[in-house]
Amino acid sequence: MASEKKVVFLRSSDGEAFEVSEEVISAASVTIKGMIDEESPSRADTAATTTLAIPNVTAATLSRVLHYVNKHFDAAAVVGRPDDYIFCAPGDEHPLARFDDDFVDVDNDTLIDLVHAAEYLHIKKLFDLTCKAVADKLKGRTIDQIRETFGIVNDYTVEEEVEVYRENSWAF
Amino acid sequence: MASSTLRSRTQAGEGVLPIDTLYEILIRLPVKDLCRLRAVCRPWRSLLSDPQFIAAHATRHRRPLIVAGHDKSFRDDGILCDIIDLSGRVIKQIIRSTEDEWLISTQRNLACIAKGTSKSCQLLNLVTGDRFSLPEGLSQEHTPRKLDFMNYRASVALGQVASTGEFKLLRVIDNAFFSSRYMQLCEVFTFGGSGDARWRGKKAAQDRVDMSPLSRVVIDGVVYFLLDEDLINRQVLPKGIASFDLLTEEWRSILRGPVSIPAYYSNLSLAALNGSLVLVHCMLHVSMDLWFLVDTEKNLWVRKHTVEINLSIHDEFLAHPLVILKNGSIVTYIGSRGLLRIYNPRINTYTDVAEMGSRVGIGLYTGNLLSIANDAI
Repeated sequence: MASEKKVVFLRSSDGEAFEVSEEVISAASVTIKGMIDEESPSRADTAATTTLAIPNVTAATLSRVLHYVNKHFDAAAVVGRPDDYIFCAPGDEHPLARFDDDFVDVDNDTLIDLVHAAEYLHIKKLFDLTCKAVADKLKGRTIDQIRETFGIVNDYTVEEEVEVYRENSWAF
Repeated sequence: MASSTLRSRTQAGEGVLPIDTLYEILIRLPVKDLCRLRAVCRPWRSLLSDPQFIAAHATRHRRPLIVAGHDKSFRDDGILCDIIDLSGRVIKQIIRSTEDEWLISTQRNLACIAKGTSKSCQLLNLVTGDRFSLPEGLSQEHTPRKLDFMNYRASVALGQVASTGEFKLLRVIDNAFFSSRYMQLCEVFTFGGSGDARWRGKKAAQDRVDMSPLSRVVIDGVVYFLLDEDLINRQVLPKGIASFDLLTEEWRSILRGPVSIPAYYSNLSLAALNGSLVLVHCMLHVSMDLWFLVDTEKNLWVRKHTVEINLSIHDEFLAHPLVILKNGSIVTYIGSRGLLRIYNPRINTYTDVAEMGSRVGIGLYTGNLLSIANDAI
């Protein structure tokens, strides 16, 4: 029936399947919308449900992503303006700002997995949110802490390092 | 696991973030953080110094910075000017090279600075710290007048000609100090042009221009001056504005301002806001009207903003707008204490973000800070 909500299943890289409304996920993810559009000619039979493989995203990350998507893209759940709230002034917060803050308040690995998932699934709002969260993590940390957090090897020679600090000393 | 596949993609020095993801993250950070993060490793430094990244960052973060020049008699710590952001944070300081130099104005990434009575000037590149000294003395065309101009002062304007990209300086000099017969001369200098690098004498404006700094502004290669009209005229006629085209190097016909204003309770200045010529009209310490020139041909002005400025009597009635932000807030320079105040006319509030102290020159920096190396230390 036309009025019935269609659902799709998304299968994570480690084999777990998640159910999500086709309308909601299409609005959120450019990548999945593309997959669904490709599938549709063969889906004349409405009784069949589609399962899409998401090979780059684990179950743990995918379930977080879908939690976000259901909060932000389910028209029934969304209140207020859907876009461009991230840069609003204090006191002018989007109703979901609190949800977003909590959503990205996770450990580094989880956050970076979310960045990659948002990038792969092409969910712009989630990508903006998670990139901003990683950027904020960089702000409060020393150079050594940043190297440690992101697994970066210091490849400067002593002379080069002195030079870099001198050139940019106003920023320290 | 996703994170372990990511780690297997990792190259030396790159860590868990591939460079294109890193790009997306770093471009969201302010300039000061980015300069600091150049110290992390070589790949981060080369990304953060890449002209393409710098240009993309500048497009995303359009935040004007204020260049605040200091007066040596109020602040004697050797600082010529501070470059500060709109939260009042000092991003960079530039030190004096000589005792008596001061900031006149800025244009993109160049600052025009002067010594003493502005007879000799330098251009300072705010990014590289390079300085270029302009020739001293009068132009060849004006040297026969030397006796009249033993002691002169200059009103110097720096602008960029849109069609050629050339930077030019216009100076109006007068003999106000010692001579009996008042005169004004006009000279032009082309910076970085292929022609001979000298001041070239031009015809003076047909009416006397007002020599004070806030009576002069440069927009799209045209220098505007309030006219120095006497009080009787000012009460009858709307204020006159002279303009000099830096491309054709000629004075254009006199514009008439929108209002005639009795001088004793109001103050006029010129500003460049959102690319338009604006006549700023301050009434006592109460209000500031911003009149935008919307049609030069028809001499048509529109009063787009009236701000309740709430100055204290001690602020000498001086309020001068520097820039209007996207949300309608007006960044304003206030009075003798050098307050940087941001008015929000919609809800009629304001925030003071910095007290810069008495200053001699103020301007905007709209060049790119990411390319700035520190020369203050």
